[in-house]
Amino acid sequence: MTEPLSAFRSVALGTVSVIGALLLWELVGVADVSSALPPFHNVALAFVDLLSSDAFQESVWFTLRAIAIAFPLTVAAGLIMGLLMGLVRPLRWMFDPYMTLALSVPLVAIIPILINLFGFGRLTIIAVIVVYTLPVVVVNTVAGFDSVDPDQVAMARSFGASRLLLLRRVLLPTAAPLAASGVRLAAGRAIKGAIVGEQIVGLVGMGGLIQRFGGAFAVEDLYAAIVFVGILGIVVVNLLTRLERRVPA
Amino acid sequence: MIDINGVSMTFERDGVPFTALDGIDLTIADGEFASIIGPSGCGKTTLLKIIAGLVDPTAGTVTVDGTVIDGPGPERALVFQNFVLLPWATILDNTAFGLEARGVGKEERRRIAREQLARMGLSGFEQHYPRELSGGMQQRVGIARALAVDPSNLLMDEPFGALDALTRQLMQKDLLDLWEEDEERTAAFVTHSMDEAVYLSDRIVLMNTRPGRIEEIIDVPFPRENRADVVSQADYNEFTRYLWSRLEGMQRDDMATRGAAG
Repeated sequence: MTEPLSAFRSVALGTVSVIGALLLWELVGVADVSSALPPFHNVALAFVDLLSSDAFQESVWFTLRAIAIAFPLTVAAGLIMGLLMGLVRPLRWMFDPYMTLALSVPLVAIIPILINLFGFGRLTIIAVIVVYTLPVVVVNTVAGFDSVDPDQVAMARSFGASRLLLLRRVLLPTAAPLAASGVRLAAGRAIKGAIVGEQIVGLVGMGGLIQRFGGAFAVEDLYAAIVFVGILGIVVVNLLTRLERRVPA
Repeated sequence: MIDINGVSMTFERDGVPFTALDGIDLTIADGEFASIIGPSGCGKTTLLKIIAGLVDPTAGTVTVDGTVIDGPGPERALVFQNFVLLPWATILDNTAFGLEARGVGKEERRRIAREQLARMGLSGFEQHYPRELSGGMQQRVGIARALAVDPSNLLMDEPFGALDALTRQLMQKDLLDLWEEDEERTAAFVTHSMDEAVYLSDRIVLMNTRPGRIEEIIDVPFPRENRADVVSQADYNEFTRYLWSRLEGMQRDDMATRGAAG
């Protein structure tokens, strides 16, 4: 995997696969199989138009701002909660059920409750992002602390290490990689949460725009907006993966 | 000096009380190298953990250098069977860990750690990470880490048990040499290798199972100074043969009782 040749091949194969899919899309679209699938070049043109439209730019800013506010807050809160739950058993017993619940229940179901609480604006979208991302960060961080080697704890104890030194030298370095992958997962979910929340609210952000395009049967615009969200997701997760590699374990 | 007085240890195992150690009395004198040997399940590692202060016995006391212990202390350091180095820390930081735990300043602890690594033949590996070292080298770091805190008592839990035969022999010889350099240290050395026990120790504590207890304490009748030469002599072979017959008997008895019980 790390060999330059196979790295090149993985990129090359990925590119070939995407180009192939786009070609297929274009062919099926030109053949006019279904009105739900416009040719790719129409979508590409709509994409270019979309980028310069005011409604689109406004929506993108709305969504990005919501994520920019909610994501760092959630990550910070999630890491602290994960740390406390990882270190203090009773806290863990208290909060574990909610985390399991949040990860297994379809969160879409609670969005109407959040709308009732926070209205149709940014606050609701922020709340949805928090609900989508917090459990992933917490659960991964707790799992990180679970993977601590008891022998290393015994070693630290045998040398009379303080709790702080144990935390700094043993517990945190053990938990860091899993916590970091929790943050990366959370980034993808933050985008997902924002779009889903906006779609249900229906008025604001990229999700709202997608919803309106869909309702108006503006199929080319709809695809263009979806493609944009996809690219955004890939960029954000890649950025975080790079950042994660830079942070020393 | 390590003075073990009436130490017993009882666990609950599947709801049934299990006596891991029963009334252990043992004194290891200052500067003495004592090996604790016995079949698996005889509680030798538990006993060492009790001496280290990592486990509290259900009864009895351990006195180290005149003080009854109630936890780990600066006069003791432990060497682990599976090395237990921190994979994310450099060899230098690993070696300095015990000193860091004791609040020694960065410059000072690095200087001492470098010295100890040099003694173990690991100069030049300071900035490496544990995964880049062989098992034998990793255990040298484990020993360097323990010696860095200059403990008067060194506790070793099958330190060479995870190494291949050749590395193991080399490590035994180097440990013997090391002991010659600072003879004032007291050593408690848990092993299941009879040869290792004979080669390294002044005294061998023979333990038995069910319940874990001391069966016999045997003086090794050869001076430690020239162990390497003594190994080929006839009386050495006779001594190891005696030990082997004792251990074999215990192991077979244990198998017989288990078979009868099961």
